[in-house]
Amino acid sequence: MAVDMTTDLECQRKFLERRAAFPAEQLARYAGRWIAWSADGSRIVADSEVPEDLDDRIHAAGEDPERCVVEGIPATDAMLGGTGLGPTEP
Amino acid sequence: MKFPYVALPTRRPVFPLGGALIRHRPLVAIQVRGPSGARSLTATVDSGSGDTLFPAYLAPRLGIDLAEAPAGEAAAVGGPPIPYNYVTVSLRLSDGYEECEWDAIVGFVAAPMRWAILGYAGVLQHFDLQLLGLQRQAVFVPNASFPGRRVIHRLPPP
Repeated sequence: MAVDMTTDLECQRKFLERRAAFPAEQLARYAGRWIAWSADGSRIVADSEVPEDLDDRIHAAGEDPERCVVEGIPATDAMLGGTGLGPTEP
Repeated sequence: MKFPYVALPTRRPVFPLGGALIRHRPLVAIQVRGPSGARSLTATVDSGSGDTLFPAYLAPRLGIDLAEAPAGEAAAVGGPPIPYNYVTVSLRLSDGYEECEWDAIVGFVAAPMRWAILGYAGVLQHFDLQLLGLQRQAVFVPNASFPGRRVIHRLPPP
């Protein structure tokens, strides 16, 4: 899908600002799950216990999976090396 | 390119951080593109990782067939070896002011991944990276080995 570059860059700027400012306590309800952010970071479009299901849930929310940003919210407090590997659950 | 750290919740106060209820991590949103699709996901900047890794479930959605892809292997701290397959993809990083897009050989791991991993091969080898603890900011500057397209659309605010 072709994306207007100006809009895309503006979305990226807003995403970084909004994601950095998003209150961590509001993310706590998603601990142990994967979430999909809207392209501009204004809202959480979908969430799931497994990331494989997110595309369908994003479509169901009327959004494009290619425009969303998927993130796992860990349920563990501390992580050591190789922190990307592993489930979101402890 | 500058990426602010993101805050993640904790279940209990973090003693070494003065009882804070959040941890800040250098996570960035990266786009990975294959022959027939693209996805963006959060990735951890991991200078301890030799390879750049993405979850294997994404491969068919990007039009990538892992069946014939070369194999690699890695182990997380204290964990067993995890096999993965190497594939060339297109990666894109942007902070909204500047963007970098390049082809890289990355691994696709058939294991749960909360975040993609930006390791040396494919990503960190091509950037001079600063992790600014006070500002909670990761700064990526493409170095002389950067093999792709770098476009500065406008200067960021100071």
